[in-house]
Amino acid sequence: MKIWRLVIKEIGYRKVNFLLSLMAVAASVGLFTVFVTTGEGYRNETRKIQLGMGQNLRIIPLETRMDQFWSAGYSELTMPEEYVYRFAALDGYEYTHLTATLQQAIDLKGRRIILTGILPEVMPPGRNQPPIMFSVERGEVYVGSEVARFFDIQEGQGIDLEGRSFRVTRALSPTGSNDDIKVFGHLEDIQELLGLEDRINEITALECLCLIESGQTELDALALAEAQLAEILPEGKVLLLRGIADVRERQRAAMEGYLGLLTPLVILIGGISIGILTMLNVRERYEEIGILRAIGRGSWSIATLFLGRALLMGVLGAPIGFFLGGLIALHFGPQIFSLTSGALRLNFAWLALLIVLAPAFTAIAAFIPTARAVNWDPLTTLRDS
Amino acid sequence: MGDLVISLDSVSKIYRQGQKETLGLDAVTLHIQEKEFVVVRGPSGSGKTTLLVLIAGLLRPSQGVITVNQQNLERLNSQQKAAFRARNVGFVFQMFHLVPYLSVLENVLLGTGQRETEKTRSVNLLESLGLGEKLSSLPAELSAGEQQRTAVARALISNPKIILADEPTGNLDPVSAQTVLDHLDQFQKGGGTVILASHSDLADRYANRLVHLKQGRISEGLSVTADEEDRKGNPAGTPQS
Repeated sequence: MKIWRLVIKEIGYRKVNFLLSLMAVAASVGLFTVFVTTGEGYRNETRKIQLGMGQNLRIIPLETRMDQFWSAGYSELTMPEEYVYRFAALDGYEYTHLTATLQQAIDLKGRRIILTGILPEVMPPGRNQPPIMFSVERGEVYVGSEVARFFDIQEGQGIDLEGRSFRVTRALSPTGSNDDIKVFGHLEDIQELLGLEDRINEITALECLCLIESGQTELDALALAEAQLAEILPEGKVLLLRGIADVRERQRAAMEGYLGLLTPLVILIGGISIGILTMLNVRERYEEIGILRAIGRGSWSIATLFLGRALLMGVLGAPIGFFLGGLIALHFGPQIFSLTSGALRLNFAWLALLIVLAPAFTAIAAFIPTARAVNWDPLTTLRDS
Repeated sequence: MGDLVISLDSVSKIYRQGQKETLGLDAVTLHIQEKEFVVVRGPSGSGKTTLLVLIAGLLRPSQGVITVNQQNLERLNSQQKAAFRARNVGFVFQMFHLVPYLSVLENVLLGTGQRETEKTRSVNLLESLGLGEKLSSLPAELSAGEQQRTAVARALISNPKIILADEPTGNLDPVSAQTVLDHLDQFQKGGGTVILASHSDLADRYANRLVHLKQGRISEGLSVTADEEDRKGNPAGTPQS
């Protein structure tokens, strides 16, 4: 009789045991899926919250006068927009949330506002993570709270800027910074309004500061960043905001430490529960092992009977657990991570990995008791059963 | 009688559990010829089951040489032993040991390649054992006698040279016991060799030879040989000199 037929027959006979084992696998995979999905949500949320602190890497035009820059909040000079793409393509430089802006103060009906063109977030090559920085569609603007209040602008209304009409899609909440007097638009729109096509006056990014983490000093990191960037951005000047980076780094380390502690625990607990159920199944089936040995089935053939069941459990349990865990994460996640709820999604690469890992785990869990059982004295096996 | 089919020379088996050692068989020498029906008698714990399991190659002796069908079992690895058992040995147990989730027919086919010819032969065999109506029944739906007849069919289906039966009638009523023993008798008459372990005298009248075991040793002077014509006619255990 074919082994797979025996596997199916046994499952049909011990439905409850199989369903319980399947649920254990699905629960373990589900727990893992909830954990990695919400873990990623946690990372996104933390990044988003940290963005409120501002990015720590700023590149401004080389000849910028710093007294002017710090007092105005932006450089009065510009540099080529192409720099941002050169920076993006820079090999071996860790960064995230790269964007570029063009800012300039203008007079709007007697009030000073800062027009701010924002380039949609530029991803490092080969990385495809959801953007966290906000971006504005062409023909639309977001207005700062002070601008909205002074000109009594509501969302959905139009606004004329330098002779062009834009639709206000968001009136922002007060931030307590000069963002309140800004009008944010798409970079290309603002470049056209200001007659500064293909120009920007700042590149901003979150830089990992890996060198500082690995023991080098802040000056080393800054010098190295400057040296690296000077070659490709000859008109750029690098500013590293260490205070922000420190806080960000401590928070990130705490988060990664927490996730790093829980991830192996979740895998271990799932693996143990699968292992216990598989061992119980093997113990329940000592008689079969004795019978099969007595009638001349080889050890490998008997082991296949148990490993086959375990593999089937893993193959079925992985997608069930993945989708159940995904449903739970996507249902409850947005309530926890309200700022980045839109970015919370199932990573289907995990499904492919889990379909390989879960059966491997169940097979390993089944292998140990099965290997012991097939090597036992069949006389004892049959007597004990 | 025919050629020598089973030979045990000074075979001992010691079970070890931690520091504790238990003697299962003690220097047993036994030669069984083709077409013999040997009944191994002895009380519980005397080594009957150990003897059968050693002959089947399911256990390794601690000492001595076992040759079955001219094959020294010690020279085979576990895969070769499994293949050897599948070809040469059928096992019948006191507790039947049927696979609970397989039907009567599937239990019989368990040790076969399940080819169509084997299926037909299994059905015929089961019908001859009075189980024609129970082919698709599960073991739990059968009486003890029916379960044991299924186990006998499973042992016979692969045309083994030897049947090893460990207390096959121990859990059966007298009528069912008689049926099972009759089938083993038929197998022996068809050219097979039967070694049956029992602590009761029920099977004695089917035996060509009785072997008495006590504390792992063959009791001197109690082994008897019965001539074919005397079998069934003589009361169990009557010495034939």
